[in-house]
Amino acid sequence: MVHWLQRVLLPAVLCLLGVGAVIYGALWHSAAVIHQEETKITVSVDATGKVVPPGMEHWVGAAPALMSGDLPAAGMDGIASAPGGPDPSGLPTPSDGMGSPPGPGLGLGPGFPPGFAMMFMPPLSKTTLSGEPVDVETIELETKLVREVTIGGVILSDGVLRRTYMGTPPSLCPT
Amino acid sequence: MAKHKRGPRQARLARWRIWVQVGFAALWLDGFFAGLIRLHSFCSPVFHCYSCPLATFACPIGVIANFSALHTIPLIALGTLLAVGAFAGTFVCGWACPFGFLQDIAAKLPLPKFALPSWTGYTRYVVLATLVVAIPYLYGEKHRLFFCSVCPAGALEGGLPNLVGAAYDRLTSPPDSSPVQPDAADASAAASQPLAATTADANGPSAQEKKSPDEPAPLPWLSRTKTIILASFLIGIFFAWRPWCTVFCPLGAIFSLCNRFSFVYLRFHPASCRNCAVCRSVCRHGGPPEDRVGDLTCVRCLECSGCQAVGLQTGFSRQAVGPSQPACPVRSAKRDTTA
Repeated sequence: MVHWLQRVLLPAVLCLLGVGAVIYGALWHSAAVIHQEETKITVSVDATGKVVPPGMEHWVGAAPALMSGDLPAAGMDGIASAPGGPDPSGLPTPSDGMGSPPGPGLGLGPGFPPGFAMMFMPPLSKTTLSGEPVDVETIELETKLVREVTIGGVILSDGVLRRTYMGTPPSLCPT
Repeated sequence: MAKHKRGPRQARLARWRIWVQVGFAALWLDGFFAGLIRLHSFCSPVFHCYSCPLATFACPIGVIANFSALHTIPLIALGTLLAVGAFAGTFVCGWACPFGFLQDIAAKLPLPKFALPSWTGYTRYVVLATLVVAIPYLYGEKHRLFFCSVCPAGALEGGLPNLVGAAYDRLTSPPDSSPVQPDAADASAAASQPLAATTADANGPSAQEKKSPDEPAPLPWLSRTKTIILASFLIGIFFAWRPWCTVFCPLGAIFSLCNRFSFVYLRFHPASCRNCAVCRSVCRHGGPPEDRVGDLTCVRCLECSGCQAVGLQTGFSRQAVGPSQPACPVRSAKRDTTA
C-alpha cells in the first residue's frame, strides 16, 4: 500500500499538477507590463502650411466671420483661438503659431459667399507629428513573458513590470 | 572496470544511453530542423541556456531566476519540472541533459579521476536557494551573483558562440561597411545595450559603449567571473565525473528530490546481492550500492544495473525480491533500498 502511494498515486498527482500548471500558465496566467509608445498625431495642413484643428477642415475658406479671427461657435472642441487658452485635445495652441483658424491670410475678403473659396482651395494635406513617449499598460500571457525574459526584455521597476526596449527587441539575453 | 555478463534488460539498455543523449542533444539544439524551430515560450526539462544560437526551448533555471526577479511565479517552468521529475526523477540528468552529456564525453578521456566528497551534493541546494531564488528576488537580475550571470552553460552555449560570431562578422565584413547599430539582429549588439553593461562584472572586461558612430560595435567579451567559472568547469570535467551535476547544478537538485517518489526508479534487492562489489567499481560515484541507489547524486545511468541485485522498476512493477541468490550475510540484515 505504501508502495502504491509512493510510486503510483503521488507521482500521478504531481504529474497532473505539473501538466495543469503548464496549461494554466500558457493559457491564462498573465501579468501587466508597461511599455513606452511614441504618440503620433495626424493633422491637416492648409495651403499656407498652417495646421487646421480637427473638426475645422470644412471651415477652410468659409464664412467671413471666421476670417476676422473671431472665436468659433460653441461645441467645436479642440479650438483655442484665444491666446493662452488651454487646448484640451493637446494639439499645438494658437500661441505656437500653428493652431489658428483660417483668417484673412487666404486673401479672401467680405462679399464672397460662404463656401466659395472651397471651390478653389487645394485639398488639405495630412502630416504626422511625433509627441512624447507615453506609458502603455498591456496584459501579457506568461508565454510571452518567458520569451521576453530570455532576451532581458522585462524588468521590475518601482513595483511594476516594465519593458526594457522600445521598438525592435534585442537579440540575446544581456547576461 | 571489471567486465560482467549483462543479464537484465535494463543493463542492455544502458549501452544505448550515449545514443539517447545524442538524440536529446539534437532536440535541444534543434538539430532536426536545422535551426528553424524556436519555442522559447516553453521550457525544456534540461540544463541548456536559451542564449545558445540553436536553443529550441528556454532554460527552466534561467526562467525561474528571471521570474523570481520579476516577483512572478513561473508556472510553466515549475509545472514542466514537476511533471517530468515526478515521472522520471534524475533519469533526465543521466539520459537527456546536454550539459551532462558533455561531461560524460569529457570523462571518457583516460585521465586520473578524483572522487568528490559526498557532502558536495548538498551544495546544489544552496545554489538553488540563493543564486536562483533569493538573490534575484531580493536584488534583481542585475546582481553579479544572479545565476545567469555566472552560469557556465550560458558562457559555453551562449557567450562563446556570441563572441565567436561577432569576431567572425568583424573579420569578414568590409572595412567601409556601416557600423553595427545597437538594436540590430547581430548578436554583438546585445552586449552594447544599457542593461548588459550593468550586469557585467565590475572587475572584468565588459562591453564598452560605442565611442563614435564610425567605430564598430565592441566584441561581447565574457565577464571575468564568468570566464573563471567556465574555465574551472572545463578543467574539472576531465578530472571528475560530472562535477557540475554533483556540486552545483540547481536543476539536478530539483530532480533529485523527486527520486524518492518518481514513477520510474531503481531498486536494490539485498537478497540478490552476492557482495561481488562489481557495481561499486562500475558506479562513477563509488560507494555501496544500497547507498548509491538512494543517493541524491545518482543520475540513474543504469551502469550498476548489470548486476541482478539492482533493477529498473516502475510504480506498477511487482515488488518481487529478485532472482534467488545465496543470501549475503552482510546485506541480508539491511532493508530494501530504492532510488
